[in-house]
Amino acid sequence: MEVGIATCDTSRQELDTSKFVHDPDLVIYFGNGDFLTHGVAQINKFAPEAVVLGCTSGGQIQNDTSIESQFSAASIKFSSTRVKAAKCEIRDSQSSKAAGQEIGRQLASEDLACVIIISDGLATNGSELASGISAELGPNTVVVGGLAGDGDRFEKTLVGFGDDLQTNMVVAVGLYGKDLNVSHGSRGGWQTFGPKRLVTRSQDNILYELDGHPVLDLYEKYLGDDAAGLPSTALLFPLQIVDPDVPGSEVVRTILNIDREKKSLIFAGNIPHGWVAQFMNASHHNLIEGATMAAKDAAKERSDGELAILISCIGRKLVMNQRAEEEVEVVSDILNGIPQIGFYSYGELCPSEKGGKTRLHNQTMTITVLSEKV
Amino acid sequence: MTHKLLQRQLGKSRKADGSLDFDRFCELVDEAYEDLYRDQTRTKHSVTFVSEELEKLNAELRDSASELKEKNSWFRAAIDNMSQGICLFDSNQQMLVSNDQFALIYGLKPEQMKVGLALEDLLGLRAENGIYHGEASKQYIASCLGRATDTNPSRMVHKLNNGQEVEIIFQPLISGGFMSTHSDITEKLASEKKIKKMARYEDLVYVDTLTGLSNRVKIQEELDRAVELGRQNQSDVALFFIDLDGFKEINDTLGHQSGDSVLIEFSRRLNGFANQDIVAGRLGGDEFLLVVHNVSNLANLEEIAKLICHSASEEIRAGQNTITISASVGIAVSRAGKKGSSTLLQNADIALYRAKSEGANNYLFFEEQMDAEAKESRRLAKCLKSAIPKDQFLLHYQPQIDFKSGNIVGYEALVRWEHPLLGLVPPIKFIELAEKTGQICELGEWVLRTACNYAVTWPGHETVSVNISPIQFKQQNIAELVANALDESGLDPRRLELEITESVFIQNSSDVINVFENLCEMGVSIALDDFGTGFSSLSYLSQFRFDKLKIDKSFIDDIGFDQEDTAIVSMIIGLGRSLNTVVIAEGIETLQQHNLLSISGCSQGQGYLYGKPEPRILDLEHSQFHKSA
Repeated sequence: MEVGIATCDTSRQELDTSKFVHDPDLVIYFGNGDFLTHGVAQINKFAPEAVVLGCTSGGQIQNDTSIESQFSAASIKFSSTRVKAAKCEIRDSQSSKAAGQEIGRQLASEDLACVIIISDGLATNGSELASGISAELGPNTVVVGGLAGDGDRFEKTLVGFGDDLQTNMVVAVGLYGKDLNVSHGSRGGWQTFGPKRLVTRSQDNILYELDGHPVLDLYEKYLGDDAAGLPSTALLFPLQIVDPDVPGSEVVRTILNIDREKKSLIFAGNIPHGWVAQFMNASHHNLIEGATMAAKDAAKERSDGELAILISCIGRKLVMNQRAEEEVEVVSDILNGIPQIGFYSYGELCPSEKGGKTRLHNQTMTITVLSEKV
Repeated sequence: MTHKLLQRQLGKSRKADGSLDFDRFCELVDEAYEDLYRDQTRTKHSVTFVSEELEKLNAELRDSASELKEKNSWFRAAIDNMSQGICLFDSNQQMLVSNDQFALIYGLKPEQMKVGLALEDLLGLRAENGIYHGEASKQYIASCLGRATDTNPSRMVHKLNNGQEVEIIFQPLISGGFMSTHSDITEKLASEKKIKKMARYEDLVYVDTLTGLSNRVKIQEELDRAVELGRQNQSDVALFFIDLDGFKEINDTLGHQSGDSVLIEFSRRLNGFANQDIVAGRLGGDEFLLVVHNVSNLANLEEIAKLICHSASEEIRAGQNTITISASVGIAVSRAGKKGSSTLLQNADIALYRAKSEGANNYLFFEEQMDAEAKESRRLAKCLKSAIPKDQFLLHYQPQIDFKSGNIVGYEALVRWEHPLLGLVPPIKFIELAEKTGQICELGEWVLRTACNYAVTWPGHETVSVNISPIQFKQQNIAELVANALDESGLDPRRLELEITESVFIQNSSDVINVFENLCEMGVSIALDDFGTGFSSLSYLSQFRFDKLKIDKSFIDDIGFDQEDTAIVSMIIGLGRSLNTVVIAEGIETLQQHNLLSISGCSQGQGYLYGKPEPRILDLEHSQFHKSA
């Protein structure tokens, strides 16, 4: 397996394709800004035979940095692993499950080892997408990925397939063969604080009331002056939700949008009625500790990874700002400096534990390490 | 050792030639400080807000805790003061709550009743106390444990060794577990038994055992109550006095069993009228009462009376027999309870009596006039009692003429009552009364003896006719009575004629005919009186050969004027001729009547034309009627 990573920062207008491997099987890219369309064209021109997919983001990660580059791409050439691409329209959050199932059906095969999936960041209910694809694929396939981002604007996300870039699309690549090794880790580092509150009114991924009070009022009170920056500033206080009847069912949810009229919040995943919610917050130190734990989980089984895909939540970047690079650095240190590529997302997809079903995570650093047996 | 962030900031501030871009560096440092400040502010804000919120929640919690404490004390007081024992168990069969009464019932100490006590241990404690023992205890514990997991409510009654009976109700809870209530029902069961006993006793005291209607005592109470309520509510009360017509004959002819069947069936029909305002009861025999509260109008009462008469007239099956009866009804009303229950009963009785005397199968409302007549009748009845001992009766004799010879052939003895104050009381007033009171027997016997004794003194051989009441046939041995009278007087039996009416055959006709035959053997002759007025069944004419048929006065009155009457008279005369029986017409007052009858072939006559009834018979020389006269 060979990996070559190319980036394009704001000072340059060209992607340095010389960093790419020759004749790659797969190119994954993340970017934003005006350069995006040009970058995608450059990749397709360089590797017309490769599966090319990517998305807009809240910032790129490459190797040990998360500088505000415009664009970054990883080209991968496998020695024996086969690749196959899939795509599907995702009209709205209600069609998320069906889209997940459709992708699953397109890629399903006995030797499917891993699926990397990327979906529209605003139209997707990540929980449903994950549940849809998991339903179609067996336990031997690891599904990882994320929801596209749009900086801290939450206005429009694009997903790319070949030279096509669209909203309302979900794309995926299936990696086939027995030689591929996949390991993963996903941790947040956030801590709960304040009272536990009951979800008293919600529908799918829309939360209306906690303890009988409109949830938007509560967020505005907690955010104080930051409330002006909603919805992105809501990322400062993600929610941990837990099914009170199922210990260990804790998941973290971040906000995608708000509805001032209905005083509701729209999350990246479901907020089931009757679950218990609690605010979370984090210091830089906590978040870096979370990333450390995720890297250690990913490196637990193998220390000879060849590529790490880092998908970190936009909320982390908002909190850490200049220090966001630190979490990328610590991951790189733990993974022995192997090539890293990734982006700041609106939601991360990854199993919670080895062999588990893929779930939507929020506010995590989610790491997938790939390698091929020699 | 430089801070990682500073290292990065320095790195990002290098110019292309490697020198430091101081402005860029300052910018980055400034931004970092700003970040830090914003973080601190944000944290402070959220911490303040959380602590405010928590304080608020805490205060709410404190309030609700103290409210809960207070409510708990009320709850405690409430359950400890309940008469039932209560026990609440969770789904793990551990006790959550129990009350003092529970401990008391099973002789447990309050300190044993700890929260968290396992159900099995509790049952063990109860067993240790010797409340129950041996196998019973094991069975009981097993049954309680079974019920503890049952999702349906259940009930059991457990008898303790000390004789107490405890009713236990298991009520499963939605949250799992169950609540059991324990009531000492020893006294309740005992009083239930007592009440059942009393109810049986009350049945005996108040219910007519044959018909199931209220009995005499109960219906009298109902009547008293109705009158009292009428007085209180200013509402009208009515009383129906109902009597079955000819019921005695059913008992006599078909037996008491059939009679009972009639009473039961009629009672069932009568009870069909009962509702919240109407109560039916049996006074005794074939007499019934219907007490009606809140009478709105007399038309309704009349409607009820009609329906009673109608329902009585429908056929009744009694074993093999189908019986048809009728009922007579007397109705009295008490306006706003002004008439007491005894007056009401008396009035209804009078109305009933009148209804019966007007032909039965009928109803009549009581009227004050009836009361006056009834009073008169009661007074007469009272006087009648002492009339024989006081020798107030006398006999008048009316001659009977043979049409052919014109000779007096006999006299009819007619009883008269001469009361010192009332004067001469007409027979129509006292005969029926005497029949009703039963005095007719004594009177009849006196008439028979007196007539025989007098007739024996007559110089000629005229017959003497004596009327015998059907009541006498029923209650007396007529043959023996006649034999004694003849014996005592020494009268030739051929000179004695007994006049009987058709109604005597309502009784067992074969018995009556036996008596006739006995009398006939003695030589006494028998005349059928009032012929043509009764039910005139000719069947008994074939069973017994009467010596004489007597045409009633009512046919004679209009003979020659009324075509029907004339035809009937001719028919009777013809009948007599074919049966070879003497026919006598009574009530002849005119010569024209005499001539018509004579021409028609009638044998004998009686009436004012020939002579009024007189205390003494006519002298011999006058004892002949001449057509020329």
